[in-house]
Amino acid sequence: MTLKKRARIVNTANTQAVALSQDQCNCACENANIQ
Amino acid sequence: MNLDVFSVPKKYAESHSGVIDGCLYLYNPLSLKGLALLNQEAQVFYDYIDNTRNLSTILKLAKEQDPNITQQDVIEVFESFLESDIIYFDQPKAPKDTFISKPTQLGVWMHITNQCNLRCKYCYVNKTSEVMSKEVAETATKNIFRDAKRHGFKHITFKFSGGEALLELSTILFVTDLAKKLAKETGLEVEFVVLSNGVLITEEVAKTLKENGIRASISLDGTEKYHDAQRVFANGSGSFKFAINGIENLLAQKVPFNVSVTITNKNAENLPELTKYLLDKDIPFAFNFYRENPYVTEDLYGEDEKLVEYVKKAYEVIYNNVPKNSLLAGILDRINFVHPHRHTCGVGNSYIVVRHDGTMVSCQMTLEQPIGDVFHGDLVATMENECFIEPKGLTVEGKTPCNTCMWRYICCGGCPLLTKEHKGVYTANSPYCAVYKELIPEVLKLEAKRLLVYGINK
Repeated sequence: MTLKKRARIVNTANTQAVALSQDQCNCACENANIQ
Repeated sequence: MNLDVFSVPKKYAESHSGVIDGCLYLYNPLSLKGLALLNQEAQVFYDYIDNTRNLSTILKLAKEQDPNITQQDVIEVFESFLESDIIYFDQPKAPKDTFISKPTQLGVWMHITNQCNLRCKYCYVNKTSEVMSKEVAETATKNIFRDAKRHGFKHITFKFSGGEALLELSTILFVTDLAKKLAKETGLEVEFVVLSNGVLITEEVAKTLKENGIRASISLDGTEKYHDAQRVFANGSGSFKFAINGIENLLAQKVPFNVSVTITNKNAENLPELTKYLLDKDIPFAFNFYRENPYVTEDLYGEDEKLVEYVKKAYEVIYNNVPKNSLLAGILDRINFVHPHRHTCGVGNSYIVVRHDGTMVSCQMTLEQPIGDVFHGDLVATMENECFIEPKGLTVEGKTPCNTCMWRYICCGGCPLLTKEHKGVYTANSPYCAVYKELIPEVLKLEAKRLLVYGINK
């Protein structure tokens, strides 16, 4: 197997069991749409 | 972007990195992708970057390690780096590239009652028997939809609060029914969350929440002794057993919910044990630091060092039992790593708070400071124009020393009310600044562990 084929990168956005907006409701304050 | 052999990859200057089990993790605070984790082979490519070498030079270096590697291979690896926002080619990602220019999600805090069956030590509500009438609820809901639509919002989240909101379940159901109807008429999306102490969540209530699509957020501040030290009935007895019963009913009926933990000097030491309990039950949770208010009679602030010590111990528990879902929102007070932003919360921009009597306030922590009401004028305009924060339109870039901090777009200076209380101005950093700075790298390490378990090693 080549070096390239073994190289792997993952990030938060593509390693979610469910979408971020669904797994937290984080309700003490409103920060769903912080900008 | 089309890469070729002459493209020169560059690393971001303001990036946080660390190593876990031989893998490199990188966090670019301006990324929409969260944390990135590279295995050792990917690191070989990343380490070739010196901000001057082009991909042709990097290909030559890579061939020394692996003679079979091709130009296309190298381009694909660097495309994946670019996709994870850990490198750039021409221009680095700028703050303006990731901020939402105009919010599309409106949060609505419906303070439907001053009544509560508990007398928690840190509560900011002056308990009275007052409740929101159906007339006020109807006018508020209709006018919120009218003005949300007018101002281009696409999505409304109703949060029912009190007091104990479930004491007024019929009002909650009245609003959710009406809001669903209005959502259909206006084309807006809507969702609902009830904030509750859990005591009134019987099997029947849990079923009702499930049937009506209402999520829940339950306050739980510790295992029995610690929860009962700060969340008590009017007669002083603890509410733990009742709150747990409510949680069990939510679990049984599969109502989506999370647990909200308020950390004071009374329960901080219990945080690791509580964390283990929640992880074992696979319940999502959020850690919130105590904020003072006029109704608190005892000192609930602890020393920063103690707070950091116990939160770190709780993080250790998470590290050893890492959950599937991202931890980047919710386990460090108001810090949110998920999306770069310039305001700590939605106050003045995307957050309407309606009191039981129909008056509006900027934040649920300022219930005694009316800014208008739901019967008159444009509610979104009232929210924007009457917001208490000074100067108007203040962002983290207007706060010192926040404006030069690498974490400014995930922290934004913390709760503005708390800062004003402690520093006298809104343009300063949070009194929790040192705590945040100490703990932010720890949260990123936890996310790295999660990516290791559920990403790289999967």
